[in-house]
Order: sequence, then C-alpha cells, then structure tokens
Amino acid sequence: MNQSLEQNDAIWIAASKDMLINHFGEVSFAFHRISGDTHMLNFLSRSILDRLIDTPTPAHEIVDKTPEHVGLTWNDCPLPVVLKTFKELSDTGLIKEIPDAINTRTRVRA
Amino acid sequence: MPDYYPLSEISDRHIIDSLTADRLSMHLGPFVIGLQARYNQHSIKTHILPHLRRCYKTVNFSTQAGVLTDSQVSLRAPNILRQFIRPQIIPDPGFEFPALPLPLHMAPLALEMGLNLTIALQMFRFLIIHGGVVAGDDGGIIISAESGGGKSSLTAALMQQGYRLLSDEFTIIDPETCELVAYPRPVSLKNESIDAVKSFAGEHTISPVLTNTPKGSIAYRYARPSDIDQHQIRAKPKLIIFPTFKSKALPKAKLVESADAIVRLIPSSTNYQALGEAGYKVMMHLGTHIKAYEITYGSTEASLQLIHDILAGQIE
Repeated sequence: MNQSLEQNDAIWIAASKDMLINHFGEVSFAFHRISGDTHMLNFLSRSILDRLIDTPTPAHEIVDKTPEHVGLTWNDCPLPVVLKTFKELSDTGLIKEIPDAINTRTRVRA
Repeated sequence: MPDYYPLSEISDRHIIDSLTADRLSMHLGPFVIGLQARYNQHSIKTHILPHLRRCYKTVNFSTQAGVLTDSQVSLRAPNILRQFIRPQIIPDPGFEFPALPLPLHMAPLALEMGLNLTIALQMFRFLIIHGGVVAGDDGGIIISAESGGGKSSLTAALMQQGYRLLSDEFTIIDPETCELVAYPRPVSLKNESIDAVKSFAGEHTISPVLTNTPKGSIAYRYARPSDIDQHQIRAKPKLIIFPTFKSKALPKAKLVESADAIVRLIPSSTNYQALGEAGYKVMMHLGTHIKAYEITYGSTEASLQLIHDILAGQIE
C-alpha cells in the first residue's frame, strides 16, 4: 500500500484459501490459517471481504463503493474509517494485493 | 495395555510405594496421568493418601513401571528445606509454573491444582474450556463462569437433580465429533458454596474443609461412583449457561447471541490458540448449534428453576 488506497490501482483479493469464515447476524468470524488467528468482523469489514472473495478488484473501487454497499452515506461511513478497515484486513492477511496485476479497466478509463 | 484397578482395591502401602517410585497412574476419562510424590511415607500417608482415598476410590489406577501417560504431576517441596522444616508442597506439572508453595496439609489442593494445570496446558487432543459440564439423557450442559461466578455450586446442584457429572473444571470437547468428554474429578467448592452444597447434597458427599488457602476455604464434592463408572461415555452439547450468582438477585435469564457466546468462550479456553483450525471449528459449531443463556440468581433453587424453564422452552 505505497500510495493512498482511494487512488490505488493495485488489484486486491480475499485470501479465500487461507481462511474460514462464519456469519452470525451482523458479526462474522474469520479464521486465518496462516497466522492461526481468529478475527471478529463487523459489517464494514465483512462488506469489503465479501466483495473480494471471488472478484479481484482495484483498491480504489472497493473503497469508493463501500458506503453504498453497506447502505450508508459518506457522512455516516467516512473515508478514514473505510481506509482503516481496509488496512486492518490487509494487516491480518485476510485480503492481499495481487502482485503485478494489471487493472485494465482503470487504465483504459485513464 | 497396563493392568489397572480401582484405587479401593490397592493397598495403602502399594499406593505409597508407587507414588514415590513414579509408578502410580490415574486412568480417568481420556487421560492417563502419572502421579509422583517426593515425600517420606509418613507425609504421603497423612496428607496425600486420604484425599486420593476419598475422592478417587473408584477411579482406576495402575502401579506398573513404564505405563505410557499423557503427562506427569509431581507433588514436591519447593526446596529441600521445606521438605522437612515447616514442610510445604507445590504441584509440579513438569514445566515452569509460578506455583505458590502451600503448607503440606493442603496437599489435596496442590494435587487438584496440579491436575488442573496439566489438563489446561498440556492436553492438545481436545479443546479445553474453563467450565463445568453435566449431562442428562438428552445432552450436556456447559456451565461457563469466571472463578467465583457460581459454576461449581451450580454443577453440584445439577448433580443433585440427577445429572451426570462430566467435569467441574473443564469442558473437554473432541474436535472430531464436537462431543463432550467426561473427566469426573471432584467438584471444587469455595467459601459460602461449601455449606450451600452440604445443605442439599449431605455432609458425607463433601471432603474435609481446607481453611486459609490462597482462595479462602476449599472443600471437594466427591464425584459419585455412577459418574466415574460412565467416564468413557460422551455427551452431545445441548445448552451453554453463563451463570452469575449475586446475593439476593432476582432470577433472570437472557438468551445470549451466538457471536457473544463465542466471544465469551474463546478467552475461556486454555488451548484454543494452540488447536488452531480444529478449535475454531468447535467454537463455530457451538455458536451455530447450541443455545446459550446468561442467568443471574440469588439462590440455588432459583438457578435450578431457571435451567428447568430454559430446557422446557419457557424462556426465549
């Protein structure tokens, strides 16, 4: 995460093979096989994780659409909170950047 | 397979010799624990043997050398001086642990602490959660509380209602099957709970009281022969109870959300982290399939009524 996520072209994906996830209402638990740690996820973390489970996605796209995805406005779900949540998921290893992946959609748009 | 016999069939002399020669092994539930005592025969006969006789008389023990054990618990003096002068005792589970030396007459407490330590920290075939377990015909009740929360009193009260004792101190769960594994050692009672349990279970079911221990007064409610006879019979978990005893509290029961129950159970486990994925799967199984309730009560009768009502589906 060398540049700010909201402008980051890098493609991210959930570490699906390395984790187990269980949902209990608004709370989810994720077990990360590599670290052996169990994480408790709130709806925001889960929203980011869910969108990265099957679909590699640019970081900025995930960040941009997070409030909409959880049914909140930017006022209720401010950017620093989204960025912090994204970083926490990255730090735990539950999501990871795909090295050298090319985000063709973003480049074409640019 | 070693030959083993109920302790009641083994002579004092043979038990003492086996304890000093590292040959006494307790076969209870899924564990074989080797017991050792580094004291002279008189001290063992006076301070350790009576507790074994009272609390473990129908439990199987072997006295041969070379028996494969899950772990060893040694009872010894903290140093050579305290073996002879104002003798003291500490449980030594074979790893460094900051145990407070106790006067030798508190050997029963040292032995039970040693057994607890080895189960909590050295057994990795099962998920271990701090909590009592009793079982009826239709499944087991896990009773999870912090020390002083009323776990043991409630366990003893449910025994009195006809429930089988699986364990007072530890909920032991097989990660392969998510079944509750029995390990029926005596129920540890503290302070006011001693008289409370005596009042409904009878004086003959309780060991002599150890006073002025680091935890106050302590006595043990014996596991019954029927509990020990069924020590190889497992139970499916049916209910999780988080009890809180508060003097004069009005009885109250509240359904605990699954996620909340999991968040309470994980820190109560002594080996969750070590078991990794297996432990996680057990916790998720409990959260998914087993209802959990928090109960607050001011008397034994109230706690039993609440559990009865929960099992009868009268509390949602």
